[in-house]
Amino acid sequence: MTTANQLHYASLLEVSDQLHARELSPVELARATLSRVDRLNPHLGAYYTVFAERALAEARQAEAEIAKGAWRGPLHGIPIAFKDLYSLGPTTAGSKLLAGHVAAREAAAVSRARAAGAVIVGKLATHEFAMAAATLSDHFPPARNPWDPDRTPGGSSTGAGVAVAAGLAFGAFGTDTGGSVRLPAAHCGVVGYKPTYGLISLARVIPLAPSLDTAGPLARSVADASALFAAVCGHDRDDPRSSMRQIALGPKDLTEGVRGLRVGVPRDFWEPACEPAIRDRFEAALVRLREMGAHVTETSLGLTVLQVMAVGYVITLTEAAAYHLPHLRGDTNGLGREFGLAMRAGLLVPDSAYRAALRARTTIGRKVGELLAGHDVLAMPTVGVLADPLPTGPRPLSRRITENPAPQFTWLANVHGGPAVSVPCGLAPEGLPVGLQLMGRSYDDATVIRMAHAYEQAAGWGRMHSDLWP
Amino acid sequence: MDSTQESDGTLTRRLEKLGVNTAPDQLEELSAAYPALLAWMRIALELADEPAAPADET
Repeated sequence: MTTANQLHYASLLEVSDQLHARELSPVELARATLSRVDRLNPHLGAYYTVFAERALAEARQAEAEIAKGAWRGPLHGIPIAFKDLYSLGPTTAGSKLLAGHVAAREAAAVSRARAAGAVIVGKLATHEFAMAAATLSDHFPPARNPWDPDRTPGGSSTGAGVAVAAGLAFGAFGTDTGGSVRLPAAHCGVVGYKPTYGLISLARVIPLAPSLDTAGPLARSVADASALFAAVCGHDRDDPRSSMRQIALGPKDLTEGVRGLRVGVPRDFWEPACEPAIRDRFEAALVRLREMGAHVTETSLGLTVLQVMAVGYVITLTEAAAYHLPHLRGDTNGLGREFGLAMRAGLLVPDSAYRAALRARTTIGRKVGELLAGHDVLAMPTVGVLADPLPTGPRPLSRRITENPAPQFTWLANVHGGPAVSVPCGLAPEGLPVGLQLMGRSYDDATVIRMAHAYEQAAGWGRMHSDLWP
Repeated sequence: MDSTQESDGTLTRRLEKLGVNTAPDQLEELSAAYPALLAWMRIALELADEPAAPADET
């Protein structure tokens, strides 16, 4: 049983078992979480908004229901939180433009989590509209990496990564357009799961690029991430992107191991852009997967990270600029400098280039599909660099729009559309976490989850946390 | 979408046609990043036109 002083770093499912068995009170758990948020959030900036009274009321309701035997499932009584793109109370998308905005109706995923009995602690920091890098001069203070508070936690779901890594929530929901769930997961040393496109409703979630946006959980274990996903997935007629085809993740997906699974390593895609310290951790992860019985083979994707990021960004900038055009035409003082410039760049993309990017996306998807015809999973680092220092002010646009971008290997899964998980695979010599990314076929989320869980259990990196926040 | 570098005035006019104003210091940053944006668009076009492998066409 988890002791009181370990509680904030316990896994969601461990705590859930204790709640279900009435060994732990949801109200005590909520109070402990709110107390820790109150103490640490001024240092870490994970939360923009904390719903203290409402969370305690939800916890009291959960306690009464569980006492009556009306247990709703693994999220019942569990403190979780949402990125501030999900409509729920004050909803700002990290932008001064929306400061003071209060959502009229909550996002569908929030309602589903609430129906599953979750205790919703608050709203989490984000890069402005899920894009512009957070800086020390922003209207909303930036979230800070729990492993080194002078560094970024990775984005754009910055607060989600920090809250889960620092024990300020037992799970969180972010959004992922080019890696925004998996990048903070990798940089903060937690699990980030981008499901197959369309499996979690994005109704009433502020968009970045609707054809790429995917909702996904961050958690302290793969099993926790699966439980969070299972609580909110399912078709939603309010979201035109919501898939009619749905999947289920069950306990079997976490117990079958990896023996016999075929893992492809598309080294031509990621290795030229990867820092040696990250490559070393990744190679160690491959050794472990082989020891576990997976068939790991080298393969070739025939694409560079620049090609994939260029296509992803042309689509993202164009779609985001179309959404934000009314903001750009109006009083733009509320938009941050980098975001306003990125949106202007998006307006300069001609229709013909956007259509070309959509066709290029098909080409990339076909190449990934060809690799996944012969492999069950593709493995690569999540990102090729360690967490950057937090910028003091807005980054120049040429830092984002560049032929030498920071190598985010996450974009491949967004452009392809299939599932991907980032799972911790150790620490670099600088003491910063490194993520292993596993990608799979669309709707075969179960195989990716199965391998990520098996690796996590064997490698033992799943329970690491920074000593700065005991 | 050719590789010709557009002048600052052209970028300004294209944005103004959409009703979006751009301050001189913003224009300077946009102009600096524009060649890379063009390069991204060229990459997309090349991949868009890449034929499928023969096996995929059967």
